[in-house]
Parts: sequence; C-alpha cells; structure tokens
Amino acid sequence: MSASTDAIAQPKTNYLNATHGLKSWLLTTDHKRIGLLYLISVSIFFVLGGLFASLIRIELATPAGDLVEGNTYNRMFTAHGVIMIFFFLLPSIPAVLGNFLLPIMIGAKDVAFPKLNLASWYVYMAGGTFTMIAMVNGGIDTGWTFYTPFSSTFSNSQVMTAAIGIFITGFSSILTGLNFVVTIHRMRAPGMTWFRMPLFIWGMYATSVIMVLGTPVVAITILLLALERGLGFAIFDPARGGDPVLFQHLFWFYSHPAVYIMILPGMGVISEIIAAFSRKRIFGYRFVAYASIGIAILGFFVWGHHMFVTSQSIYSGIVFSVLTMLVAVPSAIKTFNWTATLFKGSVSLDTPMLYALGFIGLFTIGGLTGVMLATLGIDIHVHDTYFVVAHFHYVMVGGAILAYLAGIHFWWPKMFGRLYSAFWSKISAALVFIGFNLTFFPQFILGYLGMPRRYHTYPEEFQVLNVLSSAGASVLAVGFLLPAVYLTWSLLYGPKSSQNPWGATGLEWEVADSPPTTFNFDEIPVVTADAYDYTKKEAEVV
Amino acid sequence: MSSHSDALWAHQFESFDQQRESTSLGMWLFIGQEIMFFGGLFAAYLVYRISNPLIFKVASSELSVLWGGINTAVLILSSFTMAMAVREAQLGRGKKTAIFLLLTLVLGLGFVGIKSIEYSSKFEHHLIPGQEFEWHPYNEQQVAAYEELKATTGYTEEFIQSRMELFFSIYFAMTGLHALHMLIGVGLIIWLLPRALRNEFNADYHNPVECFGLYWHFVDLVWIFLFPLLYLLGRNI
Amino acid sequence: MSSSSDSSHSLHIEPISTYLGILGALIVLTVVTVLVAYEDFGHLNDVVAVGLASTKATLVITFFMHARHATRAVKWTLALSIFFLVVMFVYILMDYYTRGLLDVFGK
Repeated sequence: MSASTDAIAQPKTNYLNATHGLKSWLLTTDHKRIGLLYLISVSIFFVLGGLFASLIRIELATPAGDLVEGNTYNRMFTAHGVIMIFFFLLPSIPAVLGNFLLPIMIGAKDVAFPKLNLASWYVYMAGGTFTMIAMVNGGIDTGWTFYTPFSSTFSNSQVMTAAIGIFITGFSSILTGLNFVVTIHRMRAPGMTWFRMPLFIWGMYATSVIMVLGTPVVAITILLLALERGLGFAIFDPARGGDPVLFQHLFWFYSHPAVYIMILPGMGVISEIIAAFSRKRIFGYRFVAYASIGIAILGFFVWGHHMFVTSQSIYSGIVFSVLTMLVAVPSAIKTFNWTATLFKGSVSLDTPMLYALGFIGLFTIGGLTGVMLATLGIDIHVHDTYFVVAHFHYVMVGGAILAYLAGIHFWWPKMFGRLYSAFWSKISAALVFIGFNLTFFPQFILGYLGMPRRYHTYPEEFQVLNVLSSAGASVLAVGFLLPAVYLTWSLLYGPKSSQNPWGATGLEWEVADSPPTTFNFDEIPVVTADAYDYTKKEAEVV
Repeated sequence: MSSHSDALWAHQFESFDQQRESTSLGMWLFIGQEIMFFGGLFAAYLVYRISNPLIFKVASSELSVLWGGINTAVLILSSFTMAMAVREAQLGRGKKTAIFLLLTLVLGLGFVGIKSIEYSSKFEHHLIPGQEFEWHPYNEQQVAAYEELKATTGYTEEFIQSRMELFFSIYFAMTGLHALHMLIGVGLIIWLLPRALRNEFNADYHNPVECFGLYWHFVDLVWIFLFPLLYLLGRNI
Repeated sequence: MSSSSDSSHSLHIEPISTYLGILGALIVLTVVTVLVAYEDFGHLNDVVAVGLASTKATLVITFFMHARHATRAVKWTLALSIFFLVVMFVYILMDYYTRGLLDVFGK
C-alpha cells in the first residue's frame, strides 16, 4: 500500500468513537455501524459455510465414503449451500459495503430509512438463528433448493425450521433493497446526477430492484412449501394434482435473479477499483451503467434454464436457452469495458487491483461456461454434474467473493482509518487465485467426464482430479484466513491512513474523512464533475 | 420551525418535501414487493386452474357468492373511508382523521368476521385441506354438476376428490394470507388512532396515515381479484 | 429550504366528490361482476371477469392511492412490478400451454 508521506489528518471524533458501549452499537441507526454489524455477521456465516465446504472436500479426497455417511453428507452440502447463499453471498456486498458506502458516495448523511436499516439487520439475524437451530437439530437434507415433493412430503430433516429462517431472511433483503432504491432516488447531493453516480451505485441500484421485486416470490414459494409440509395442504404434491415443476418455476423466478444480486454489486466494486488503479475514467461509463440495469431486467427472463431436464415444455426450453445467452451481452460489455479501461492506463498492482484482475479472469470463465450450459444439448449432458458446480463457483466465488474481498481491501482504510500489510495482502490475493483455480478447474473436467454432484462416493478413476480439488481447497482456505489475521492486526496496530491513500476519486475519498464522521460530511457536498475524473486529478498533481 | 415539527423530521432529510416523497416511494416499493408476493400465489392458481378447469368450476360453487359479495362491498367501503382518513390527515383535522380510521377499523373487522363465518362452514363440511378432507355435493345443482363431470370426463371419484383438495388448498392459502394482511392492517390502525387524536398529522407530516392508506388499498385490490377468480367460477353451468 | 410553508407544493388534496364517485363506480362494477358471472361468454368468461377486476383496480390505484399525482419514480415502481408480474405469468403459462405438443413422452 502506498504509504502517504503527508501529515495524517484524521477527525478526532468519528463514527467509531462518537458513542461507546454495546448498546450504542446494537441500537445504532448509523448506516456505517450497521454495515459493520453486517460485516461481523456475514464473516461468521462465511466461516461456518467454509467449514462445511472443508468437510465436503475432505470426504471427497477418497472415492469411498469413509468420513461420513451419505445421509450426513446430504446435510453437509445443504448446510454449505444454504449458509453461503442466503447468509453470506446475498448480504455480503450490498449489506456490508453497500450500507457503508452508498450514502457517502452519493453525498447523503444517511440512508433514507435508518431505523428500517437497523431492523433489516435484526431480521437477518432472526432468520439466521432459525436456520442455525435447524442445523443444530440435525440439519436439512434437501439441498439449498428445497425441491418438492421431497422437501414437502418425504424428507425427515428440519425443513420447516430452515424454511422459516429463509423466509424471514428474505425480508431483510427486501428492506435493504427498498432502502437503497429510495436513497438513490431521493438523497443524492446537489449536482449528483444519475450519470455522475459512481458505477458501484448503479450496480447497487440494479441489485436493489431485484431484491425488492424478486425476493417476495421465493418468500411465497417457501410459505406454500411450509403450508404443504406443516398443514398438509395440496400445493405441489403430484398425488393430489400439484406440480413439483411449478415449485421450480416459482423458486427459480427469484433464485436465478438472485445470482445477479450476488454479482451486480461485485461488478460495481470492480468498476471502482479498475478506474482507481488505472487512473482513468471507466471506458464507456454509460454502457457499463446501462449494462447493470440490462442484467437486472434480463435476469428475470431466464430462470427456465435450471429446468431443462424437467417436464418443462421443450419450447419453453428453447426460449429460455436463447434468452439466457442474451445475458452474456451486457456481461461482456462490462468485461470489455474494464479491459479497455486498463488499456494505456497507468496501472498499479496494489492488493485491491490484484483481486479485481482475478475477478475479471474468473468471472469470464464462469460466464462463458454459463453460455455453454444455456445450450440445451450440452446442458442435458452435464446437468447435475460437477461441471455445473464448477460453473457457479467460478461466478459466485471467483466473481462475487473476489469482488467482496477486493472491495474490503479497497475501502478498509476508509472504514477503519488504518492501513494493512501490503505484502501479506498480496500473498493472500495470490493464494486465493491459485487455490481457487486448483479447487474448481478440475471440477469442470470431472463434470464433463460425468461425475454427478451431491454424492459422497465416486468411482476410483475420478480420484486424481478430486485430490487436486481438495488440495486446492486447502490453499484457498489459507488464502481466506490470511486476511482475517492481517486485517485484525491492522485494526489494532495498523498505521493510520490518510483521507485518500489510493488517490482515488469519489466523495468517499475526496470529501469524507477516514474514518468518516457520524453524518459523513460537515455540510452536504455539491458535485460539479463526472465520476472518475482522473485526468483532472492528475493535472492538479502536476 | 417549532420543536414539535423537528421531532417528526428525521435528521437525514433536508426538507419535509424530501421526507414525504421518500416515504411515499418507499411504501410504493413495498407495495411492489406485495404485488410480487401475491403474484406467486396467483401464478399457482393460474397453473392449477388451467390444468383442472372443470373441477375448479364445481369446487367454486361451494363458496357463497352472497358472503363474498358482501365482503367485497365492505372492503370497497373501507377503502373509501381510508381515502377520507388520508384526506383529513392532509388537512390536519385530527378528530375527523380518527373517526374515518375508526370506521375503516370497524369495516375491516367486519370483513374478517364474515370471513371467519365462511371458514367455519368450510370446517363443518370437511373442506379443510390436509385435515380429513372430504368433499360432498350438497345440493341438487352440485349433484348434477358432479355427475356430469364424471360422465363427460371419465374422472374417478378419487381423482376429483384430490383436485377438490387442490382447489381448497389454493383457496385457503390465498384468502388466508389476505385475511392475515387485513389483521395486520387492523393492528396498524390501532397504532395510528391515538396519534391522529393527538393531532400529529398535517399537510407537512402525514406520512404514516398516507403509507398505511396505500397498504390498505392494496389489500383491497387483492380481494378485488380474488372475488371473481375464486367465488364466481362456473356460476353459468 | 427548511420552512414548512414552501414544502407542501407537491401535495394534492382530492375533493370529496371524487372519492364518492369512485366509491359508487366500484360498487356498480362489483354488481356487474356478479351479474355477468351468471352469463356464459364461452372462452371470454375469464377475460370479462379479469377485465372488470382490472378496471376496479385501476380506479383504486389512480384515485384512492393517488397514483396520478405521484412522482415519476413511483409510477416506474408500479409499472415495473406489474411488468415483472406479467413476465412471471406469461413465462410460466408458456410452459404449461406448450407441454406435450411434441408427442414425445416427457416433452
């Protein structure tokens, strides 16, 4: 990290030390503190989900089912999926970085509804508690998708408790999204027009729209599942005229757009970082902004590609297949524009940038295999194999988690006013990239060779690739643990950060202090320039 | 500005106008969320309706058009009183606001009361899904419709029984969730009433009443669609 | 910007007569809904029923919910929700209406 030599001026009272005591945190309405509450919670859930992932990889190191029984294995991969998706990936960037940065980046004192914001954290924790109770009481064996009729009629695991937990958590997501949409519409500082907003805000806006309009559909679906399981209603039960495929329609109507809830904010983070470390305005700013909205809208048109091998009509399959490929267009626009931004930029390879470059590569692989899977013929061959597992991990881990880590490293000095070790953070970025590829690339091959997902045993010829994958997972785990160590060190002993250690543009760097004061700004700033005005900034320096 | 207004003006906003427009947009987004929430239910209804058009017609004739119709009128009337309550709040007339809120409350409870009468008759007829569900044609018209259904389609009695259960599952899911929204609304009126009586609302600050009004009208909207889709099928056979 | 006098310019107060008129229209439309349910229009039965309900809904949204005086963002919110609702219905029904056309088991 480029240690700044000018005198470090930090505000005496900031949002961290303005008030003291546990109560001042648990009852806070400050968006920055709520962001930190989320940071702590999602980190805990990430560790839990990672623990289950480790158990899965240990079991799969040998072909025989020697660590756990099949039944336990089912509960392990369900726990991994449920925790990682509902309690880590969905809230990670929006609720942590979004909460912290969104008001500052648009020049507002807070989000539009601060109390609702706090409520969303409590709702999230309540949902998490229910789901944890389900895990402790024996777990769930349905997979994170809760497909009927297994989940509603046959499974003997804690489906009800977990369903209640996920139903509740959904509302936390809705409240966050609602808050952000209103904040972006109504709270922008004077001069902060729509097309002067940083692209992170555009990503958050697109995400929030999906959160508000998609999440309720999965809520009602889970409620119907609970009515069938708990009260014996006939909704999805084929014996009484119900259609399990309807469950899948309703489930994926939300759960496919949910993938974009996870990736769109990540794309926003990457846009910020690529611009800051290339010292250039993002190439084709408007196209990147529109692409976010395009992905959010198109995302609602493609859910049927999860159902190519169900009884869904073949004609629907064709339509969904073509529409799915269309999503590649806005995604490609973004990727090309990032690379075009790098072109002839003065690129510096600081830690956030390393993560961001990793994101671009891995997301591209994840996205392109997505187009492969959208092809009806290929999908029927690789459906429910490790090819699919590898694909979505490239998007979710290689995309969303790398973007989350990139964002945490980028804004850490702003959040806590302290710097972290440049050396160790670069090591960690490298370990995550290498470990990730070692874990998941073999799974593409495994899947293509026909290894199905969700089994705890496999034929011996798959062992070499599985051992590679498990070895990669341990490298990845070290890569994820390192930040926990050096970031904690930075919190306690890290050197103080200046207001703008990266020399980046944006209200959060140029106007707000590090760490910001409770109301972010002494007076509401007036914005007079476009986002990423790096040419002007460089001129000032000269 | 009086200190009284200051308390109602949240720190993050620059003006009452901004505050009002923000809460209104927030509430509309919540309504959008509700549209999608009930939308999932309507999608399930649609799918099962087109898969079992004839059985759903016979099943629908089990419901009382009279009670359903009265309830529709009650809800529409309550929507009117709610709109009036918002108007009085905008004009800053606390007492009148409270009166219209109270009327809305009474009508809302009336709706729930009628609904529970309907539910109890379903209970007596063993039409609660999952709880020893057993459908019997109960009048000549239904017997005739039932016999015709069996004759024209060749469905077995068991088959028809199971699809009847499907209809009543959808019926209870939809109307139950709607009634739950009504009850939540009633609770919110009880929270608003004393505030109206304390004269808290005026042209600048009436967001709580306005937002609650939007909610109440939305619940009315859902019923406007539920009534023909559930109660009025097959009245012409 | 903090004086309360200039902050009420976006407020529209409807005359009572509007609300009464809408109430009347809604009651009349409800009666019509019930009456036409006893007539047989063949395939158009549902179109008529849903059409009437949509008319009522439009009245409620436009007047009782003040959508006609709402900000552009509110109108967009409403439009987008209805749009996604229609997307959900259309795409789910597309599946159910085109199943079995191919005369191959399971397709």
